[in-house]
Amino acid sequence: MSGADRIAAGGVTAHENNRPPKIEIHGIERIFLKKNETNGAQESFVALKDVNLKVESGEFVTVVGPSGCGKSTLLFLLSGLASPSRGEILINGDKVTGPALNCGIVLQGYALFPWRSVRKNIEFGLELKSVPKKERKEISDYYINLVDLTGFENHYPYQLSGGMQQRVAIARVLAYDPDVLLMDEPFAAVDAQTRETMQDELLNIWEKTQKTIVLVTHNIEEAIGLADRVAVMSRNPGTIRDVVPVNLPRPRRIGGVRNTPDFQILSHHIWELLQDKGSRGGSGAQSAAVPRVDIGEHIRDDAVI
Amino acid sequence: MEGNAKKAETGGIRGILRVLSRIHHRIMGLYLFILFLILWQIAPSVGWTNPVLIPSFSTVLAEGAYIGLGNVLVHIAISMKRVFVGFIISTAVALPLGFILSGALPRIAEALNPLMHFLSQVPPFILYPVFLIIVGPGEFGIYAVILWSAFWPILFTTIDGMRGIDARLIQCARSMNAGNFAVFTKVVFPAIFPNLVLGIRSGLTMSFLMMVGAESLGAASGMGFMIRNAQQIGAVARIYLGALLVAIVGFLLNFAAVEVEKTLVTWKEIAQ
Repeated sequence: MSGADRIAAGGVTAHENNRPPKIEIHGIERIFLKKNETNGAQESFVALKDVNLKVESGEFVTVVGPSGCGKSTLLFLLSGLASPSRGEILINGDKVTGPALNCGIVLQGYALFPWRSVRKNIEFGLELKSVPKKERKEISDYYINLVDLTGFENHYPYQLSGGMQQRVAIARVLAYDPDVLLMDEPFAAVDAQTRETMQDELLNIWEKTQKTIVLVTHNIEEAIGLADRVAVMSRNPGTIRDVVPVNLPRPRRIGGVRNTPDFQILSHHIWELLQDKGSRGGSGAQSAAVPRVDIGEHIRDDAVI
Repeated sequence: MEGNAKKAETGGIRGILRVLSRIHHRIMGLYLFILFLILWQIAPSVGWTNPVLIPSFSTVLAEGAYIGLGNVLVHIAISMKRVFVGFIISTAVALPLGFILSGALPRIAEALNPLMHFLSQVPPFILYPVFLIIVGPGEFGIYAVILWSAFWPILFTTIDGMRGIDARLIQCARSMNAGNFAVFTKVVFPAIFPNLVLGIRSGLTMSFLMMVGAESLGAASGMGFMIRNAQQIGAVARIYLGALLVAIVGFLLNFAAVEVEKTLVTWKEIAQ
């Protein structure tokens, strides 16, 4: 614990510069209406409650939490695809009221257009922006090269491996050129080796493009390895328990930091937060009612601690 | 194939045999077809069947020659005109209706669902007498049957296709600021296009089959009429001729439709 606090203390500077935050989330609450499975009555389900977070421009923030904690919902709200029941989200100081040009999302499971080739998938957002054809090709060439898919321009998604499809999805959103990149478990469906390569590639792209990235994951190692700060969420109701600064050196490669003591300490700290042992969050009493074991098991499956 | 051709040159007889066996595999389906025609030809003449009830293949062909190719083609052309006109009208109504119901009015679509499935079970031929009573004999009844037959497959595959669209694709487009029009043209339409083509193809096949039936109920021309007329005057060979023509035209129609489908829906075709 004390080790984690030491690292945490070093990360405060990010909040203290003079630029306004890129993303501000103020007191978000999101309530879903759902049907009770036994009696069919409409019930409200609080997916997110009291979520506050600020993300600086160019910052890489990961959101980690057990399944069902509302982390994907949070991304949807950020992207403008859904709106909060209460509270507000500001991007560049403007309230988010719907999908906007400054925000791009990589959805879970790639969501590539199966009838479009790699190139046409990447150009999708550009077509929507009415970018002329010649310029579209230049841009898609650049991103095809960036995500190392040269030679596969005319392949269709079904002809690509999971990792390649993922890279197309990332290239598609990068070509759209938003300031803020939202990613929903982008590496969940690829094998462990590909995952690490993709994570390093993402770090590489982030360093090159200086985008603001919010990435949702349930993998602790991924959360720490990529991020400047890790927002740890708990569920019932979904809320941010704590935001843990990651003061590992940049530029960074996951393989290079994974075995450092600092990484291990952070990893243990976040694991404890997810286990509900580090009772710093405000909703400790409520979440204690939930059986903890399955959350712990779930996360341990994926995390190397 | 190239390598094979070379082997055939160098390997002499063995190579030629290999090429022949390859051709043999290609046209396997044709053998049974030819066998069927041979059986048809010899069965009546060697007394396996009654030649009056089942005339031989050559008798049927001779009947065709007797009527004259021109007359036969006129009947076919009239039938095809009916199919296409009815089918096009049907598509023009069913497609937009499918889009509107499932896209813009999902609740109404859900409410209408049982009624639509009930109506779709009404045999198209029932409509013929109904129209006969309402508007009198003539083309209307035939068109009604064709319209009805093509309408339901097209409507249902469109609605099913709309339901089957991956919501994330639409979310992805929306997240990139796509408006309703762009979502429709760039996501919804291409996503359900394979369904549309499939629905249109089965609609076409259905309306072709039903057209023959409708014509035999009461028309003064067309392939269905030809068969009914032959039956009335007792020209047995002509009945078989009519059936043969319907089969050939239907086969070609379906073949053309499948080819068009393959050409249009490349990404799905290979994916399967």
